[in-house]
Amino acid sequence: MRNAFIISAVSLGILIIAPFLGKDILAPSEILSGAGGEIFWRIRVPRVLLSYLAGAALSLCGMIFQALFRNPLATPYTLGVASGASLGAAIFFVLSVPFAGGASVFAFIGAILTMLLVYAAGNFGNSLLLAGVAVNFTFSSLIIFIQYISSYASTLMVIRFMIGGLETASAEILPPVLIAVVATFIITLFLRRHLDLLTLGESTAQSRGADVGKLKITLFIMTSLVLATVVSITGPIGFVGMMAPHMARILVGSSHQRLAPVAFLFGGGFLTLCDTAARIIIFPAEIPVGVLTSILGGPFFIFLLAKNRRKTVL
Amino acid sequence: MVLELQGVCFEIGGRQTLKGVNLSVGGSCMLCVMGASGAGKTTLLKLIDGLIKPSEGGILLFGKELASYKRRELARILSYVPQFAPFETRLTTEEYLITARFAYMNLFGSLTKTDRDEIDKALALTGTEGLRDRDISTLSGGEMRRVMLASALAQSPQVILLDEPTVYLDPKGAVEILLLLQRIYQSGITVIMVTHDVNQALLFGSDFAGFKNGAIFFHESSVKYILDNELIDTLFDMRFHKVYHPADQTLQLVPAK
Repeated sequence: MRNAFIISAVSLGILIIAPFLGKDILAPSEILSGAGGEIFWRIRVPRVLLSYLAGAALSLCGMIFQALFRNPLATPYTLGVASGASLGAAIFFVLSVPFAGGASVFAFIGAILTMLLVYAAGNFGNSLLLAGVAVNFTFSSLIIFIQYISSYASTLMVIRFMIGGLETASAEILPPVLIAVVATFIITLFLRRHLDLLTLGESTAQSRGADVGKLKITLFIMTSLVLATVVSITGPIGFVGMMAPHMARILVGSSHQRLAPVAFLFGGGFLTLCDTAARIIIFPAEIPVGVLTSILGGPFFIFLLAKNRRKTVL
Repeated sequence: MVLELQGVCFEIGGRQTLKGVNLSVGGSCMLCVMGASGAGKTTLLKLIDGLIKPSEGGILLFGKELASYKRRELARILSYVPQFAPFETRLTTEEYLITARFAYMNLFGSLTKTDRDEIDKALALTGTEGLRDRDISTLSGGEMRRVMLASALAQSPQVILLDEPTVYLDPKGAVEILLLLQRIYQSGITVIMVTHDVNQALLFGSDFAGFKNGAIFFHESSVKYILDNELIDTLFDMRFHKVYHPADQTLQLVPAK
């Protein structure tokens, strides 16, 4: 209980303080009007909100996949949503279609089509996980192929998309992300008992009264939609989705009643923290946030794992 | 009749693992299902729990076709204790027992007083109250088996199915579980248990079914009849000596060299 309280306080603290930070640190009195207000409300708040929502969504989806596949290595990208989005974006950059935000539209379509493909393939072979891995490999090679035959400029843009970042944040793109992430969070809370059952294995879940088939489809559709929405805007930001749910589990245990909110808060707070650092450290340039999540998160994750060696993983 | 199997066959990968099984199980008994590995014992439990469907034949639960029950209805009647313990999760004992109340929960998954009471009762009966807040991945083998049984009881079932509930346990732990199962069936719940330990079965069970090559070889409630006709010897295709302990005449079947 104490851990959950501390994480909530720190996470919400980061969310509130982050928009004040940047090249210029704004005082609360400056945000009501003038240039300070403009920077605060039009630039920083959307960016911070996007980072928080993206981190929270990645963490929730990672948590769901880890429970669903009973596999501690599962990440939000295990089923191929990131390579689908990247392939979509790569095709857009190569075609150089001249319309703003086109990369996101292509990435979203790529992500959704990929998920449908994985689902169809996985269901025939009865193994989503393997289908996801196969699609990931195939699409990675396709992306390399596209980069190989295209110009340096578009190759660079593809790589930049695949590292992931939050520069695309704006007030306009927030509403769909907000709706998708909040809806996912609410549905996940409703399904917290189902998720506990899934960690005990499918036959136990079924034996105790869960309709496992329907549950898997529900989770699959929900995670596909929210991940496609987030990844098409931010690119596949790495590490948060695998690590944040594990950290949350180490801190508050496996029961999804506590785990889901804590994973949400941890993922959101962590990505906002990383993105704030990414904006500041080498200003006026930015470090791609996907690089920072791994550099900061990796050692911390190893530290927590080492400290909790005896504890198991789901 | 609590449970009736009528000509049940099960086929997997072109191999018939159950061949026309007829079996009737009444209320308040402890049926021990025995037989060599691969005789179809676990398959039988999964069929009764509705986890797999028979390729032929019918199963009646309280006189109603098993397939006509909804999954949640079934979970309020039957609970299943699998052979393998859930050691990979970090749920606490109490949280693990809460998952057993799933079939009684509303859309919001909130717990009622009945849920709390049933969980407390199951913990008390199995003597696991002290483990309530323990992470189940840290339990010992014996503790885990008792907690798994508590979890099955928290489901408030009328029939409990167990797959080798005493495997990997030391003699004391095994006897504790068997005594618990005896109390459970005497309280009116039907216990159906698959076991490899013939001695445990004959000592604690009330009814005995021998499975051989996917078919019922015997279904008896008299230990004497089973012994007199050397049914266990035929079941496993080997010779046993019958040994009675001089002090209390406790029976042991000892494999003959």
